[in-house]
Order: sequence, then structure tokens, then C-alpha cells
Amino acid sequence: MQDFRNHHDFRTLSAAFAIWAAHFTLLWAASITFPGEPAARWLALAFTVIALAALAWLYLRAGKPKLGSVAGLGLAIATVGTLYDSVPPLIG
Amino acid sequence: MAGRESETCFDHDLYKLFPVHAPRPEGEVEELDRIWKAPTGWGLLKGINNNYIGFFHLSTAFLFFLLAGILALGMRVQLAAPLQDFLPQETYNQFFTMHGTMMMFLFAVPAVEAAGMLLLPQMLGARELPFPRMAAYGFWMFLIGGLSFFTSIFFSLAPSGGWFMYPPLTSIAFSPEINTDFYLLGIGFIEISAIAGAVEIIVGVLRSRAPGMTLDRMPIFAWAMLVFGVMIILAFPAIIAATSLLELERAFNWPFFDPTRGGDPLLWQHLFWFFGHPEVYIIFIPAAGMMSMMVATIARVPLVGYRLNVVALVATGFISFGVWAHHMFATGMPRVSTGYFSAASMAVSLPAGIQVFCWIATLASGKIRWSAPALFVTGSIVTFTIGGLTGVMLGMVPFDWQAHDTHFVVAHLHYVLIGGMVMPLFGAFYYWAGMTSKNALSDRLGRWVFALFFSGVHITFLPMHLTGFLGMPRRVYTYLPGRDLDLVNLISTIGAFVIAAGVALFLFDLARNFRFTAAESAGNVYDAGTLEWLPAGLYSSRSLPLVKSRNPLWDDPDLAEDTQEGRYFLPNSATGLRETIITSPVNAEPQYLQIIPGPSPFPAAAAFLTAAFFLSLTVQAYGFAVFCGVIAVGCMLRWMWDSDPPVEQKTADIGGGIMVPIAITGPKSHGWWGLNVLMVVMGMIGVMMLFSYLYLFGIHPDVWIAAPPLEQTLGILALFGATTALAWLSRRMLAWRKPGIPAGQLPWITAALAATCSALAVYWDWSGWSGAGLDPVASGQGATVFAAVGYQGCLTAISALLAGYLGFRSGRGLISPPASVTLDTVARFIGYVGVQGAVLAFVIRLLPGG
Repeated sequence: MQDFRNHHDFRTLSAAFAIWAAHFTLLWAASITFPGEPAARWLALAFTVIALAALAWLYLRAGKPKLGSVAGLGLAIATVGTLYDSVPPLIG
Repeated sequence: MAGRESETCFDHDLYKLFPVHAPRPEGEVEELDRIWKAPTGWGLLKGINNNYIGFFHLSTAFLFFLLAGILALGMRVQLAAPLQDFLPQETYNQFFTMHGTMMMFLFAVPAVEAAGMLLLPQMLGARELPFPRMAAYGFWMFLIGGLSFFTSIFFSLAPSGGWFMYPPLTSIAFSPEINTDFYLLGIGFIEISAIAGAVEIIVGVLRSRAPGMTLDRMPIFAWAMLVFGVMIILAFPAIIAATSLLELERAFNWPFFDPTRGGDPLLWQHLFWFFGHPEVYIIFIPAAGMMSMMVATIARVPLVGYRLNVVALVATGFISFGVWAHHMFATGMPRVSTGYFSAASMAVSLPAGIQVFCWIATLASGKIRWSAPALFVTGSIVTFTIGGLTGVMLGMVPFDWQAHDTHFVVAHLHYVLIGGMVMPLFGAFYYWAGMTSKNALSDRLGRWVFALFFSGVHITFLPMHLTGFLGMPRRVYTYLPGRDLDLVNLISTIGAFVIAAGVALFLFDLARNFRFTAAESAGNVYDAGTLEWLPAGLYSSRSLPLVKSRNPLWDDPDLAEDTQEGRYFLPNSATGLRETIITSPVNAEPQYLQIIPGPSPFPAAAAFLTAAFFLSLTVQAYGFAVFCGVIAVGCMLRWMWDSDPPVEQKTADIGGGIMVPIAITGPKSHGWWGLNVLMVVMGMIGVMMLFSYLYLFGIHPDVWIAAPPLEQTLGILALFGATTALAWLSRRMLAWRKPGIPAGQLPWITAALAATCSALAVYWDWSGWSGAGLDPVASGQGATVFAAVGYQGCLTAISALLAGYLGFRSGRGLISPPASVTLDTVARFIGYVGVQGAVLAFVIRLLPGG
């Protein structure tokens, strides 16, 4: 009998990118609210730690998906994007 | 498999019944033909079949491509030599503004949206998408609005401030004529049309797939259109908000963008580009979906990395919302802010790269047949990759500062848009022409079209990188001799005419071979494997197949015959009306039968009158605008009247003896999903209003005054809370009544009370701010506050109108327990308005300045 169920985790994929989007928005909001001030940098660091923790939680919740899976690749790209976004406040 | 393991308790063992080999009764196909028959002649104004509306929409978009292309040729002639006087400066300004605006708003977005409407029903194995009248309304709006907008150029009334219309150049002080208003209101048509299409596409893809077509078996083009639709409902509200604010500033002197009164011109840039850059991906993603479909067929192998492609589409959709301010690097944003947008601009190249490598791997793993679509696909990969690389260059802030507003940017954007969208679309014309034409297009001519088009694109735009590096600014109508610009500009102009020759040859091919048909098409010329190539009439395929793989026609050679013989789902009309099966969003399990409304003159009439409304506003004929607006609303209500007909029959056999309900309400229904999508649109407009308020506070906190007293705010929040509670109560009142007993008047009266509460809250909000001394003309705070309250007022007015409509239906005995689609829709809309009003009031009154 053919399997008529979807086995791919599109929810984790979308949640991972939602975390990336929230992280990006908060970092940008901090940077224009406190332009040139250390507060923007510290907030960015805090938001990045929270975002990475949320992505790690998603990874565990999804059962440690492989990189080649829908959820795994989504988590990987979202994590790279999050880390990439955290570079500007670090280098100033 | 037990039913409890499924998404909806549907027993998957029932799928074993198909294909059903018992003979079908005579006359079923003839009945389907009769039910789905499209009007002819002038009756086409009433037509709503996707085959017609999708085709008209696509043809109209292509017409605008040709017209905008002619404008481009005019510009290239002007720039062929230094100090030419082919076009005067102001006319040149109008040409480049119209060229950009038309290509982006009147060609690119509508073309891919129309392709979706044309292809999706058959590709998904549905009879029709769920809201065909809305699609028809969207098309007529697009046609009328687009033509009105274009004709403004013949009266020197076309906008001339560039397609992104930056204030203060476009403010009343520097653009006092109505040219700019034509843009601001003309774009209104396209916004409505695009959003109407997006609602149709999102709900269609998620809820009307053939049974068995799980998310993982969906054609990649359907995935692309789903991401496209979601991006439209998130991005277009930003341009709706932006154009509304600029029009308010121009009409009533509300200073959103005037820095001398607490506004800021950069607010426009943020709002515009929050829409404008995702717009590029809104255009690219469906074209990428087409590419993925075509490469598989060209190489005769399933797409390599299907799931990676899906992830890449979704990732592109998300990350593209984080790149908007890379268009603003030269405005002096804080350095760290520019870093974020630079980082996101680099990151978005990751998923784009995944797609390109999937295409290359697919082509490499199969045996390519070098047909016209194959040439366009490979040409697209080359051109888009070049554009992507220059995009990465421009994503680096120091480089962008050097190349900003030069012809280098013009070259980059044309490489991306032509490589990413136009070439795939031409490939798609050749690939899918056999679905809508009696004859396929000529593959031999198609290769010549490709050769001319591809070489023309590179002859035109490759030298523009050089002219940009040499310092030639964009949007300047001439240049001086002796600056090494003469030859390269001449080469670009020659290239533009080579492109035009390619397009002309394509038109010749169309004229010679293309003959529109909905039933006797040339068929599967390129031997593709997806469902749109099943034998079909206006009702799509005769029966709706059970989908077991991503390329069902390749994997089941008998599928075409079995569907044609009615051996799958819905082999006839179960109710004697237009209908399709609504399936669950993840596993596509049959849930119920949707009755689809038939042809109607009201969508076209409503579109015509809506267009008249906007055009009257443009020429400041306010009385006539109100007149047209009222009749347009009447037409819409009249078309809605048929959308919730009383149906005696409660269940229907959809094949194999499987019985499903008809026309349900609640979260499972397609109407519920459609309204949810619309709520996202309304919510995003609200978010943009709040963003404008908070942004201007961040720029000019000195002009902010304190909010009215807290007691007043609490009163307003209570009224909005009552709005939502009463709306919920109106639905419960119907649910509590016993079936068969008339609903009475209480449900609609409760809904009307809810709308009244919202109206009182809006009045109190407006008068409270006025009493506190806030003036919309005096400051950016006043302008944004009153704009937000005004927006809430508009939604409240719609709520009141819908409550009245509900009362009218109730009076005619058309609301009956335990549930009514109309009451569900109206009550949920009003309930949403209450929630949104509370959020707007809370943030504006209690956050900055409060």
C-alpha cells in the first residue's frame, strides 16, 4: 500500500526561519534605537544567544534531523543566517 | 492504514478503491461540459473560468511588457549618442518612470500570478481554484487600471519621479501636478489585484489539491506559488501603506515625509523597499518554480534535490524580507544597521545558489533535449548567475557607495530580472503553449527567438557595467561627448534593438501558431510528467486523480486514460453545480465538496466602478468618486449574495462510494482560510502604520505630545473588547439554536452592535486626540496617529456595511442554524477589527509619547 502521509517537517523549517526573522528585526531595531551606543551591541549579543538557544531547542524537538532533510537544512540555513547577522555588531 | 493515523481521520484504505473499473453512466461528460461552459462574446465579461481569466490576465501582462519595452527603446535611442534630442528631459523622465513601474507592477507580478491561475487548477488536480469570482475581479481591475495608467503618458500626465517615487521630489512642493497621483492611485489597482490573486493561490494550493497529493508530492511550481502568495500578503501592505500616506500628504498636507514638521523622507524609503526588495523575489520565485518544472522535463529525470529546492524557496521568501535597506546604504544609516542588511544580502544568495545547483545537477544527470525551453532555461541560469554575482558586489557597503545610482545598478537589476524572470517566462511560453493552444509554438523559431533575445540582453546590459564604472548616472537623459561613453552607449542601444527583434519574432510565432483553446489543445509536446497534461476540458480532467508520486504521468502510464474514463474522484457533477473537492492542507485527504459559483457580471462591474472610483479621486472629482464607490460596493455585495447559496443536499458521493459533506463552515472551510489570509493583509497594514508612528518618534521625539488620559484609553480598549466579544456571541447565538428553526434576528443584531462598539471606539479615539491638541497637519505624530485611526475607521465602516448585509440576508431567511458561512465570515471580520483596534490604540497611546 502506497503511503499517503507527509513525512517531512515543514513546520520546523518555517519555525527556524521565523526565529531568524525575529532575530534580524530585533537586532535592527536595537541598532536604530541606540545608534553607535554599546547598548546596541549588548542587546545584539543577548538576542543572538536567545535565537541560537531557540534554534537548538527546535533541533532537539525535531529529533536531531539530518542536514539533508527539510527540517535539518532549514535549521542549518537559519543558523548560518543568524550567526552572519551577529557579525556587524561584533566588528562595530 | 487506520483512519486515526491520517490527518483528518480519513481512512487511507479507501484509496485502494481507485481506479474504479465499474462502467460510468452515459452523459456525465456532456453534463460537465454544460455546467462548466464559459460564456462567449460579450458574455465573456461574466466569465470566471480560470482557463479564460488566467489566459486574459497573462495576455494583458504581456501587452504591458511590449508597451514598456517600446518605452525602453525610446530611452535607448535618446542615449545612443551624446546630447541627443530625441526625447526632451521631462518626457525622458516619464519614460523611465513608466518603464520601471510598468515592468514591475503591470508585467512581472501579474504575469507570474496569471501563470499560476492558468496552470494551478490542472496541475493540482482540481476543477477550479476556490475563489474564481475574486480572480475575475482582480483581472478586470488590472486591465482597466493598467490601461488607464498607461494612457496617462499620452497626455503628459505620467509620473516622472522614478518607479520608487522618493519624496520630497514627489511631494506636492516639487511635483504639484497630478502625475504623481496617477502613480499613487494607479498602483492601488495593482495592489488590489495582486492581493486578490494571492488569496486565491494560497488557499487553492493548500486546500484544493487532488487526493493523495501530500505536500511532499506537490509540483515544485505549486510550492513556488505558495511562497509567492505568502510574500505578496506580507509585502504588498507596505506599499499600500506607503502610497496611502504619500497621497494623504499630497491631498491634505499631513507631513509624514516633511522633516520640518516631524516627518522624515526616509520613512517612505523604508516602507517602499520593505515591499520593493521582496518584490524582486516575488517575481523570481514563481519563475524559479517554472524553471524547476522545465529542467526535469528537459532532462527527462525527476528534479534533483526536490526537497532542497523547497527549503531554498522558503528560505528565500524569509530572508528576502531582511534586505530592504540595502537600497539605502547611501542615505547615512547607522553603520551597524547597514551591516545587518549587508549580511542578509549575502545570506539570501545561499538558497538562490542551492536552486541553481539543483538545476545544474538535474541537467547534468539526464540527457538534455535542446528545445526552445531548454535554451531559455540554460540562458536564464547563466544570466541570473551573473546578475546574482553583481548583486553580491552591491551588497558590500563600500562598493555600493561607489556604484550607487549609476548604470552599473541598471545592468545588475536587468540581469537579475531578465535572467530570473523574463527568460524563464519565455521558456514557459514555449513549454506550456500546448496546454492552451490548438498548435504548439514553433521550436525552430523559438531557438531563433532565444538566440536574438539572449545575445541582445548581453549586448545591451554587459556594457552598462562599464558605463556605470565610468560614472554615468542612471535617470539622466543625456551625457557629454568625449567621456568614453559614446561607443558603449551605442552598443547598448544596438543590443536593445536585437532584443526587440527577438520579441518581434516571438510575436510572429504567436500569430502564426497560437490558437487559444480550452478543450482541444496540442497537448504534452515535451512529454512532461505532471497533472496539467492530463486530457482536460473547462472542468479540468474528467475525474480528479489519486496522486501517488511527484510525476504521476511518468509513473503511471494508464493515468490519463483512467481519469478520462472517470475512474477516479468526482467523475461527474455530484450536485449538478460547479464543484471541486476540498482536501486537507498537509496530506490532501478529501474533506468536503465545495460548490463553486458560476459566471456573473458583478465582478467585472465592481472592478470597473472601483477603477472609476480611483480615477475620480486622481482628478479630484470627489462627488463622482463617492458615487462610483457606493455602486462598486453594491456590486460586490450582490456577487457575494450568490456565494453562500442554501443547498438542500447535505452530502455527496465523490467516487468509489466515498461520501463527503457539502459546503461546510468553520476552520476546515476554504472561506475560513481565505478570511485568515485577508486578516494577515489587514494586520500587516496596521503593522506598517505602527512602524511609521514609532519610526517618526525615533527621529523627532521632540515634537511628540503626551497621549490623552489613561481612563480614556481604557474606555476605548473596553469598547474594542466588546466589539470582539459581541462578534463571537453572534456566532454562538446561531450555533445554540436548533437546526430547522429560523435563526431569528438576534445574531445579526448582535453583529451590528459589535460594529457599533467599534465605531464608538474610533470616534472616541479620534476626538480624544483632537481634544489633547494633536493636529494631523502640524506634526508627524499627528499625521501618523490620525492615519492609523482613519485606517481603523475604514475597517469599522466595512464592518457596519457587512453587518447590514447580514441583516438583509437574515431578513430573507438565508441565515439558518447551526452555522452560516456568511455569519461566520462577517462575525470573524468584525471580531478581528476589534482586536486590531485595541492593539493600535494600546501601542499608540501607551508607548512612546503616551
